[in-house]
Formats: sequence, C-alpha cells, structure tokens
Amino acid sequence: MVILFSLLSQYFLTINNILSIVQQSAINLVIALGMSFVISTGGIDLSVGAIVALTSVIMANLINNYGIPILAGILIAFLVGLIAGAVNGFFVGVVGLQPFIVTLASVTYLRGLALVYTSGRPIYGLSDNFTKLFAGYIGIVPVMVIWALAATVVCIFLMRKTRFGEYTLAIGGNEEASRLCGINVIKIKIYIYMLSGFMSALGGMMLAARLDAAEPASGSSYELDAIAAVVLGGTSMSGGKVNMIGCVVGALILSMLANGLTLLNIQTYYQQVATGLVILLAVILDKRRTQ
Amino acid sequence: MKKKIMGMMLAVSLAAVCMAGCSSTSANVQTASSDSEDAEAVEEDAQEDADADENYRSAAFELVVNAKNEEKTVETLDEELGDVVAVSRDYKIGCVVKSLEGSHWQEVARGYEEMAEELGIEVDIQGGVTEDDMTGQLAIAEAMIEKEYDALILSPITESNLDPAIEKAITKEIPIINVDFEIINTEYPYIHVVGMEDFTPEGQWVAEYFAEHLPEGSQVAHIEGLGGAVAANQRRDGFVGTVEEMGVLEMVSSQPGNWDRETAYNLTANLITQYPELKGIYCANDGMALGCVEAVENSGKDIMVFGTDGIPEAVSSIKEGKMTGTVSAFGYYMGREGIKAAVRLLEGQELPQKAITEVSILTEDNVYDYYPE
Repeated sequence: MVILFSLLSQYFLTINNILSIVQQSAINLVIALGMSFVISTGGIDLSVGAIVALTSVIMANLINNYGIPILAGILIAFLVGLIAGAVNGFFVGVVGLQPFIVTLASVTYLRGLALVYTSGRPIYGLSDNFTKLFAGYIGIVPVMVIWALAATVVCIFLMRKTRFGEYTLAIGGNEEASRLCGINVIKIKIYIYMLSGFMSALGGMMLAARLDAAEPASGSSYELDAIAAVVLGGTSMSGGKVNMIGCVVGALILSMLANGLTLLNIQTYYQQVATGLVILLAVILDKRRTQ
Repeated sequence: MKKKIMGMMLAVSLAAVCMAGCSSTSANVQTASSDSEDAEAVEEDAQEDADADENYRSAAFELVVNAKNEEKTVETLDEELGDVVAVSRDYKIGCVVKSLEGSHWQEVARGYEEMAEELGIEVDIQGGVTEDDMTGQLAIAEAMIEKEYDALILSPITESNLDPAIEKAITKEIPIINVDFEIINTEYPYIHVVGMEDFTPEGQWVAEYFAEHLPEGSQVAHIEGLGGAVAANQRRDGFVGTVEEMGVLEMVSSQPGNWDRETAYNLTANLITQYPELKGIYCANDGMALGCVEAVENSGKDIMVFGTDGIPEAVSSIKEGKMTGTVSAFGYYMGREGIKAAVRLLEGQELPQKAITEVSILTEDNVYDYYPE
C-alpha cells in the first residue's frame, strides 16, 4: 500500500507527510492500546470516545474558567478517566454484566455528562503550555508521536513482562480456569477497564491540544476506530490472544489509508468504504493464515 | 468517478495484501524504507518544478500577509479589479469544506467547481465525514498541504480545529482563503470571504418582514439552533430583540430545535396546539424550517415560515409556495467568490482582508431572480 500510494502521489513519501500520518494515528493508537487489553479478555469498551470528550472538557473548563494549574487539571482529567473505567470494571467484574451492555450504557451517560457539564458549548482557546505539552513539536517530531510511543512501550511491557499481562490473557483464554488457578479475576478486570479509561483520558488530552479546543461532541466513533486498529493488528475478539505491535501497525494503516486517499483526491465517503473493506479483507486473510 | 473507484479498489487490495503479512510486519516497514530512495528522486524533480513556480505563489502569499485590514463587498471588488479575472497559468487550488454532507456546503462546493471550470483551473474539494468530524477534517487539510497547491480555501468546522494545518501552510507560504466560518486566530494571514460575520441582522430582517406582512398584534415564535452555537444565539437575539423592540407583534415562544428537522417538526406541532392563533415562525436554519413547514401543512393553518441558509430544498419549497422565505447566504456564490479571490491573488491583484458576499431575504418575490429555472 505504501508503494502504491507513493507511486500514485509524489507527496506521499515526504518526511512531512509521514510525520503527519504518524501524528494522525497517535490518538487512535493510544486508545487502541487500552482497548487491546480489554479485547484480549474477550471484553469490549465502547465508552472510550465519551471518556475522551468528558476528560477533555473537564480539563479545559477547570484550567480556563477556574484558573486551576495546568498539571492539576491534567491529573484530574486522568483521575476522571480512571474512575469512569473503574465504574465500567465494577459492573463487568463485580456485578457480572456483559461488557458490551455496560459500556453501551456508559458511552451514553458519559457523553450526556460531558454535554451537561458544558451545556453543549465547546471550550475554545486552551493555554499555550498545555497545547505544547501534548501537541507541540520537538524539532520536527510532533510531541504526540512521543506520547504514543511511550504509551506503546509501557503497554507492551505491561502485556509481556508483568503478571497483570499474563493474567489478562489467561482470563481471555479461559476465565473459569483462571479463577480456579487463584487469579483475582474481578480485580484484574477492574484494572483493565481503568487502564482503558486512562488511555482514553490521554487521548482526550491529545485531542484537546491538537484542536486547541475541548468539545463535548468530540471523540464520537473513536471506539470503532480503536476496535478497527486492534482487529487489523490480528488480536482476536474472543480474547486470549493479543498482538500489540499489530495494533500499532493497524492504527498506522488506518491513517495511511485516509491520508493516501486524500492525496489522490478521493472523497471521505469513498474512504469510508475503502476502510471498511480493508478491515474485512484483513480479518479474512488473518483467519485463513491461522487455520 | 470511475477513476476514483479504481483507485480505491487498488488501495483496498494492496492494503489487504499488506495485512496478510501482518505477523511479519517488519517486512512492510523494510519495503517502505528501501522505497524511500526512489521517492527522494521524485521529490527532487518536484522541487525543481516548484522552484520555477514559487515566485507567483510567494507573491500571492505576501499579498495575503500585507492585506489591508478593511472590508469590501465583492461588487466593489468587481468594479475596482474587473469582473472577469484573466488566468495566466494552470492553477491548482485545494478546498476544504466543513463536510460535503450539509446542503449549504454542497452549494459552496458547487460554486468552487463551476467557477474553477469557467476560469479553466483545477480544484480539489474535500470535507469531513460529518459537520462535527473535527479531527478528520484536520487530517484532510494536513494531507492537502503536502500536495503543494497554489492556494488553499479553508472552512474550519470549529474556529480552531484547522490551526495546526494552517500553521504548516503558513511555513510553506501557501496563500489561504477562509470561506464562511471564520478562523479565530486573526494573527494568521488569510483573506476572509464571508456573507456576514454577525448573524443578528438575519433575525432582525425576518422580524421586520413579519411586522410588515402580518396584522398588528400577531403571535410569532422562534425555533433556535443548537444551544450555545454563536449563529443560533445571534439569530435569536436579532429576531426576539427586534420583535420586542417594535412592539407590534407578540413573541410567544423561543425554544432550541438543535438544527434538527424532526425536533423542529415536533416543536411546531406543539406550538400550534398551544397557540392556535400563531401567525409566524422563524427557524434558525432551513432544515428546521422544512420540518416546521410540514407540521404547519398538516395542521392546515396559515402560518408564515422563515428559514435561514438558502439550501436548494428551501429554494424549491419557496417556489412551491410552502415556505414563506429564507435568509440566504448564497453558498453557491460564496464558493464562486472564494475561487475568484484565490485567482486574483495568484494573478497579483491586491485584496482587502475581508471580501463580503451578499446575504439577503429570499422570498417568492425574488427567488426567480437568483434561481431562474
């Protein structure tokens, strides 16, 4: 695909364009990393986009209208992300409801809260220091890329080198067996949804900084983009199997596709059709290969 | 169309092939890097071409930077600079609209296309998936900047969502035309082509129209846009304020319809039940006005309905005698003027910082002047 786009458009493989592709995939990647953990337990988190919106408007409102220091505002936003995730985890783990239904409810009430909190009004014009922290540049490298890279390293470490990662996959593989082996399934599940909430909050900070605005309506359909990246990467929706590097590649491919098609002057509607077909084909091919 | 579909299919199949080797992803990355040498060669060629062309684009960019902070109507500009712009090169202009989903933006895009065709230049038009696809629109704008257009015509979804792209365009010295909704950061150099910056007069005009055409003491109502939207607030203030100031009409209700046709339909139905003597309704956009017209028709009452925007559906509704009128910003003409402004700059003509296009009330009386067929 890289070759095709670079042949069809001389602008595709310029350093600037590559950097902007990586930058455009950064938010989705961060959210998709958290989603990878959730999906590898056989769960799903539909509330990520709403958490993005809620955390960004809370952060922006506290900093802009209440004069709270930037770092404190960011910390509170992460806290909100963790709490929203913990609530999801509570209903999934302790109450034992299906993740799809729990997060379907939370995507609705969290989005509602974001709208109530702002009366539907976007908050424009964030502090320069904040936007530099999440969407500035170091040399020509966008800071967002560095954040995404850091998040990737941390998540891969968590998944591969820690008990937490091991237990996550164990639960996804066979929940009952994991419980019998003495894994505290409930605790791990709560942690996993908290991680997803935390990553969404990070995505929220990055989005607000990038747009220099916090909008209660932002982040809609981010859950689908994140799931697409995870699935493209070869992680199984039924859990027990994860491919973190694949998730990175998946996020990059989604951005690359949108970018390349824009350079070829193909409109967004066709782009959506193309993206859908790519996901479908990738999953079919993945299934064939693993059989 | 065919070309687009072909391109898309190719991309899809290749992407799928890439993903087939997903477990061996490193292979993809390697092809990419070995390929970059070729790309550099291509880039150098492009660079040479660009050098030859750079002068007029930079000159146009300078004109934008040095544009006087004043506003002129497009009619004045036509008089001063000539109605027809002579085109001396094959320009390529990139346009980013809010979204091609909205009727208003389809009209603007049609204006871009037709003007470009008349002038014999090339345009690419792109937009977000929906009118709140802020990051999608930004990604599109960023990709378009890499394409070295001679000028960019931008209409951001929010007042700041395209800022990162605009900053890149400025470092590349690409002249920017901002059509309709304004970029908030006025330190950026751009020429603003817009119908009206303040929407209060739109509401005021409708109030005055109602006062003129309805018996004294008639009840009127307003259906607002999305709570908090600037345009919605200003139209409400203009309409409600003027009605109350004039004192000849009775303002009975003003509620948010959230730019939504169905919401407006339901609100209207309730209004008619609650105020059987209602004589006039002003809606903050045409979509809501069309919903409102439906509800009025179902009730069998004779109520004047005004919308805002002048979308094609509203124009036909006015011609059919259903909708009374609309406050039209003439997206089509705005689009034409956007292209014209870009070409003027590239041809070295000086422009003021703001070029104002026409906004006026469109009713049965004048609809055929603007839309003859």
